[in-house]
Amino acid sequence: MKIVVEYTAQVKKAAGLSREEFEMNEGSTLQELVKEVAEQHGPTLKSILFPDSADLHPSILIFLSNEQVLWDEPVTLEPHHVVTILSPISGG
Amino acid sequence: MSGFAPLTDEERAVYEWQIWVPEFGEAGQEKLKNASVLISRCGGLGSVVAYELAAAGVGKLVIAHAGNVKPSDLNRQLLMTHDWLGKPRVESAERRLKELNPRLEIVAIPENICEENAENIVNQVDLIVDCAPLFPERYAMNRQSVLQKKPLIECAMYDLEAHLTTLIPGQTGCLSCLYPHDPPAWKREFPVFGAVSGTVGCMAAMEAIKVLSGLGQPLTNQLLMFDLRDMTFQRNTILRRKDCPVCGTLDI
Ligand SMILES: [Zn+2]
Repeated sequence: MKIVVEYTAQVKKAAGLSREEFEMNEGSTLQELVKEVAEQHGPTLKSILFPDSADLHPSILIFLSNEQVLWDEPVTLEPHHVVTILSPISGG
Repeated sequence: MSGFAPLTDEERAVYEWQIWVPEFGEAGQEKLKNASVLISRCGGLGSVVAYELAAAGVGKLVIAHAGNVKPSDLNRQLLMTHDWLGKPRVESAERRLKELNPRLEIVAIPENICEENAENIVNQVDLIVDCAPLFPERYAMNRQSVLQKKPLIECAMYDLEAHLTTLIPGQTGCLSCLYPHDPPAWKREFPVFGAVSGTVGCMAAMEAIKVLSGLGQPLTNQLLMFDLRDMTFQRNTILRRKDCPVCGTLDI
């Protein structure tokens, strides 16, 4: 199934695009998808999302079809899901 | 605060067109007149928030911003003027706000918010609009927002993107629920057009007006995200963390 992934701010800059589709197996989890995103985009994005462990950096937010999901909450993806990966911004 | 001041005839005339807004009216205008707001800092975002709140007739603004006006401020910090280069930013801001609204009470503090001064400064207002460019300043305001149970409008921008949410202790999570740790990827200098910071600044000012006057539906428990590069707007629900070290002990 195809899952739409959207990026914001520094995550978008590191990914080099704002939106793309990932082909995932049925039954894949949100966590597997985010790890796949980090693997496919190389070290800059990976260092923002997973700087020092297998856990997502706590300041990165994940939204699943417009609802925030915490990293330790297991979620199975569905074909209609849109995943948004947000990095915090603070420009005044 | 001392007593509730009714509108004067002059104020009725100045604010006539917004008093026409349904569900706002003269009662809403009186609430703004008797309200006080902290805006920190008064840069690209805070300048526009302060200008809109001064125009709308909020009675008292506390503005906090350190440093002197630099050439690189002038593309977006609309309360700073060319003739004030090298002179204190808060003085420029105060002067411009007074030109617009001479009735406005202003407390101009030539400091940025920090853990040491936040308690005393937040104590002087009813509501905070957080326009700080660094997360430690934002966390200091957030802590006092929760401790003093005062609404905090969180607004921020980067490049052509912006975020906005309204945090109300007792009704929503806090900034530490949203970002539990200081985001390492954030740098003080960031790409910015004044029209982007001005857009989110106007929205933040409207949130402040809504919360203070009881108008409309504030942006609580939701994060508005938009990108003016392609005009994408999204409103996402956000969570409160029960184990939040800042607001976890508040009853909701
Ligand atoms: Zn919290």
